[in-house]
Amino acid sequence: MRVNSASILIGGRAGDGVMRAGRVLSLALVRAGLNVFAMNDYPSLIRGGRNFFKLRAEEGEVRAQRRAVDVILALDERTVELHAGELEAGGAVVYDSDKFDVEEGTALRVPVPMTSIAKEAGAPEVMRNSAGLGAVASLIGLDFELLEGAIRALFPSRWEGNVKVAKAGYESVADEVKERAPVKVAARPAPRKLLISGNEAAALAAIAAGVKLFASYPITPATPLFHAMATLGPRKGVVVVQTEDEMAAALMALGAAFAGVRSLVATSGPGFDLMVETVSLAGMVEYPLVIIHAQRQGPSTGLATKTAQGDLLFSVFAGHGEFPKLVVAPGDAEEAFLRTVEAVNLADKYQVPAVVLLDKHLAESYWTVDSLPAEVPVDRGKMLTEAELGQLGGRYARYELTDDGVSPRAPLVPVEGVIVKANSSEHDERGYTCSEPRVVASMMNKRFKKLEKLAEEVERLEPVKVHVRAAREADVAILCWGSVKGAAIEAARLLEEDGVRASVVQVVYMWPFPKEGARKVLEGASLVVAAENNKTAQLAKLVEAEIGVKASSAILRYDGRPLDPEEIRDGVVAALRSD
Amino acid sequence: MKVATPYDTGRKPTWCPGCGNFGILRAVKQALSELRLEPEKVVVVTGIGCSGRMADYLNVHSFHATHGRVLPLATGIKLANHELVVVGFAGDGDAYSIGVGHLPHAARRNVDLTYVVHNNMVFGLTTGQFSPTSPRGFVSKTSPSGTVEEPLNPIAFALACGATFVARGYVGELKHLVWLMKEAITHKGFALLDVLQPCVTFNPQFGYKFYSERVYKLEDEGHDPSDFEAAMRRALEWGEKIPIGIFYKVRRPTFEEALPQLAAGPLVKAQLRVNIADLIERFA
Repeated sequence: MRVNSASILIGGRAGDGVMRAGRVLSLALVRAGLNVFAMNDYPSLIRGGRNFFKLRAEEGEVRAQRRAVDVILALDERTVELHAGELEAGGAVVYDSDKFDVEEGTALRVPVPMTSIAKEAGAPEVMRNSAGLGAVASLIGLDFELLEGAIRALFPSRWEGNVKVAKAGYESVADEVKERAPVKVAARPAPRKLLISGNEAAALAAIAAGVKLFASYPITPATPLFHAMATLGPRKGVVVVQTEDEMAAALMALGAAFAGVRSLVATSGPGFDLMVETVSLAGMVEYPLVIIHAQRQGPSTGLATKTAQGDLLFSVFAGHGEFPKLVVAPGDAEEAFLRTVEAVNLADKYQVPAVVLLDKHLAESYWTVDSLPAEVPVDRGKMLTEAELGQLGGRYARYELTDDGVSPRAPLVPVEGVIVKANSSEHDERGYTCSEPRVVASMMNKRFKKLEKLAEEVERLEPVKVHVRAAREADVAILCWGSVKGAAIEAARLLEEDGVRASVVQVVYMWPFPKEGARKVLEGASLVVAAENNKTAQLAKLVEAEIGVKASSAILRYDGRPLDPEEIRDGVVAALRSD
Repeated sequence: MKVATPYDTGRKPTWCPGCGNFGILRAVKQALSELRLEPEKVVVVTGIGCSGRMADYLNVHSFHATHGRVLPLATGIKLANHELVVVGFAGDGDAYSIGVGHLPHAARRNVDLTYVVHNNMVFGLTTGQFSPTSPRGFVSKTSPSGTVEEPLNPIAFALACGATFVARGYVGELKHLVWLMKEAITHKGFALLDVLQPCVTFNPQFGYKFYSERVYKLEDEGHDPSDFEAAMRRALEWGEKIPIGIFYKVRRPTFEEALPQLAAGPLVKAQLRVNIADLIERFA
């Protein structure tokens, strides 16, 4: 029996309250002083199908899911069929005995009459999930008060019925069953931590960074970010608009930027496709357009609710014509917050479009974070004040040629004589349409000068991170990005047990590609193995193209599911064997 | 002798001599002048096509946008500073073909902006293809045997979409057009002003002679612009008689008026330092 180290899966059909139950249990465990990482999986439907929520709780740092599971909470029979194979020896199956039975076997069976408990409490049937939660909490020795607190936090309007049902479930587990529990929780004192998803963190970041217009169209898996914005944004003066389509979302955001207001949009692949024209427009008119692109499996409609990292190169090269843009890929929820703030600042400062790449796994999984800053730095670059504009008056030229390519920007607060002209056609310094060859060349050079300066600033931001150990001190460097970061670091831990010293090289800033940062980190790497959630090893391609470092092999998963640490470990071991 | 107005940029228009755009440009400048609107308070958003060049000839803030995308861009600008006067200019291809999907929503939202459509029933700058307002049987470079599609009725469409101000003007009635522009700009809410204009190069058959023989003013026939059904009936008139004037005008809350976030003032002047400690607490 392990203490304070558990992998728990909750499964059921859509509509059974699987996700909420998972979040409640996760929050309760965080409040017990543990670190929790949780992921979820669901099909593209509203009722039925098969959902699961899988959490991992540890005393130490936890960044990814484990394949094996210690406790299964099954709200339907399918869950047992689908996941019994993942159960550790001696693992427990807590199930709704009113609905189905689980055959005697090697697992510890914990039958709980969840449906009748809910009924006896006078609660709607969906609350049977709380009976299950109560039983699991009791089994693993989690204090009921912690569970109750989590229920109250996450069900603010319906907590009473849920707590009553949970209590009954808690009391239904016999002592002799509890004695055979595979894992136990011993609450420990720990500072108050946050349990937050990538989407939620990005939404908070946007608000903190002074975004005042958020425009989007619902699309999985970016929708929770939209919902968070709609709930929290207005409290901080953010105007949240649901547009008629993604084109309108990007355009409204760009229009606001033109007028001097910070804006942001969130979407996924199919929506990003529709925004690409506006990315090119932003590049030409030189206004920030920050797009949170939460990737999902493509191509086309693909698998709306499944994860993938298939749009890296598309995002880097999005938009016809040549112009500078920023592309950054956070690796977890905390980075989603920090990198989104950076992206909003950089896009504003260099007056470029920016793409913040998430994916379903990153957007919708939960991490335990020590804290997030309540206030963040706001850098608007060369945004002129009313006084400065007053001095300039009619001399103001929107696209003034400057040493660093960045022209002073004027917010549209009327100042006498100051006229601001943005133009999607090639233009002169004042923004009038112009096709004179010398002017065209100088404007192209001006815009690319910005890319040069942006690249210099990006190099100063730790654009490529290394984890566990330096690449030159390792037997193998695992090259990864985005949500694979967590699984790669966990894989490095597993490899340690096999006597393999691995380094994890995580590229964060994708464009302008940080050649210096990448070279420095990969210098001396004896073997580079890429690990990506796509079919064409896009980061490996980019790294090879930009700095000539080749990954000798790639561990690729492109079935809509996130890479597991065990898979990466197995892939690395195979690569070392063939090396 | 031409007297410079504050709205002149000194740039010479690239339009063909006789183009209806000259009339629309003159009418806009006259309207802005009569309304005493400072150039620094006005933003024009233009689409793609000959009408798109309006931005170069008006000394006001401007955004020459992408094809069909005037409305959402103009909406973003208006939301950023709702004290600005925002006017969009688009051709019939821009507004009623590629951009038509944005029209119902701009109308439903009732954003306070003016949408002037240069309706010459043809795609001019791309050298003469049919547009959604070209009549059935229209012969053009992409319809050498004549179109087999019914034209779109922008007036009826705008009314059905819930636009709170729907009007049609004609460049051959310039004083009337100036009046319509002033009405559209001062209207609080979404105002569509469809302007009939000849394209002398690619659609000469629908020229000044054609229109002058047919247009009549709604005001001269005692039309009541607060009567929606009457507006719809007039909207369906097209043929020997073509009504111009204000079809419909009603006051409803604008999109901006419904947003409490804008009550304290324009977003562009909002405090950028935000403390989110209370929001972070929700995740503990």
